[in-house]
Amino acid sequence: MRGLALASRNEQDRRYLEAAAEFGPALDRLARGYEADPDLRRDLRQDIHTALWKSLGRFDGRCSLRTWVYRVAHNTGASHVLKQKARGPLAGIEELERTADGDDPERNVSDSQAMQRLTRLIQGLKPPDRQVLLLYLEDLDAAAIGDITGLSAGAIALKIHRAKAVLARRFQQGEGR
Amino acid sequence: MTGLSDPDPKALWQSQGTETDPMTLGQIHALVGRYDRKTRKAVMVIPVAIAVSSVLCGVLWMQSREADVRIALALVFVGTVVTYLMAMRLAFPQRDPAESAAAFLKRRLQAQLRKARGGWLMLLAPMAPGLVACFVVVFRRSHEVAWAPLPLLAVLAPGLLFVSLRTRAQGRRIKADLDELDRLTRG
Repeated sequence: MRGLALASRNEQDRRYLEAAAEFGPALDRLARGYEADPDLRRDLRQDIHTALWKSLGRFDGRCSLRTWVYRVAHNTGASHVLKQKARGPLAGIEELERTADGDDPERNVSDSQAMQRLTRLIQGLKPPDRQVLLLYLEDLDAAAIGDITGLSAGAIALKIHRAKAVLARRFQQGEGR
Repeated sequence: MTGLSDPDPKALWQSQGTETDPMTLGQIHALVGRYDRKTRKAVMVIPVAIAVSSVLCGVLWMQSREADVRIALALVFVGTVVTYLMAMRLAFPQRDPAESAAAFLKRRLQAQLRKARGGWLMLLAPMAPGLVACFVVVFRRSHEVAWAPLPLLAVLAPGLLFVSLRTRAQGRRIKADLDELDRLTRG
């Protein structure tokens, strides 16, 4: 019995190491999309990895490892957002599309400033919009985003279309303005 | 400096370096162990609370000879145990760790909505018969006691009204988020 439990735990460890090696950097970026404060982000990152390790004990192959990892990570991130009592109101991509960029109109800024803007934009989104945008930025296709988020194909297509418009307007000089 | 003339926000996003070293298995196991110990302690609260309630009700039962008092005590005890068990189910729900993000969010928002609409009062419902029975027993023994809670209620009422209005507004916001999520999942 103990041997079985040990074998199962070894399998869980193996799966976790495989997932962490393949998706570790993406999970780091995902944590950035959910938390601005570096200390809280470190805690969130730990929560994501812990939740992932625990979940892999029940990995049943009903979906790919990638879908599983992103689902667990986004669910932990969304839970983190819902627990924050002091956060301001979050917007949908549609609202960002309608409103003007309040940032410095000087477009030719450094990568780090651009990254800050992008991160701030993501952190101000409602969880479903944030998930779609984060997965889009990770270069996942609409079908994979649908698998992970559970949103309909039409809703994802629309959100990606709007996200592209917002990103073009805010991050590309002279385009989409 | 490539600047924002860089046409690909995906490349910008993916170019971020990692902030900290990768977590080791040892760290993960230690964190999970700490979490499990905390959960075990939290789970133990319920049996301990049930045991304390049993002892208290048992002592009062032994001291009392009147049938109405014993019935009230029995109702209080059963109600308390049911409330504890319901609280345990709420505090430690069984859930799928890899449900889709929308399903997860929907479940969390539904729980928040139930809480905002006073669903937590359902937890106290099993205790109601016992409390009513206790009130009847006390009322039979002294008419003065029946009016005693009124000043306290007068103080509590505005507070309860404020909390009720605040949670209703919160409930409306959560309901709007839930409706939006439903639209997004239906297509």
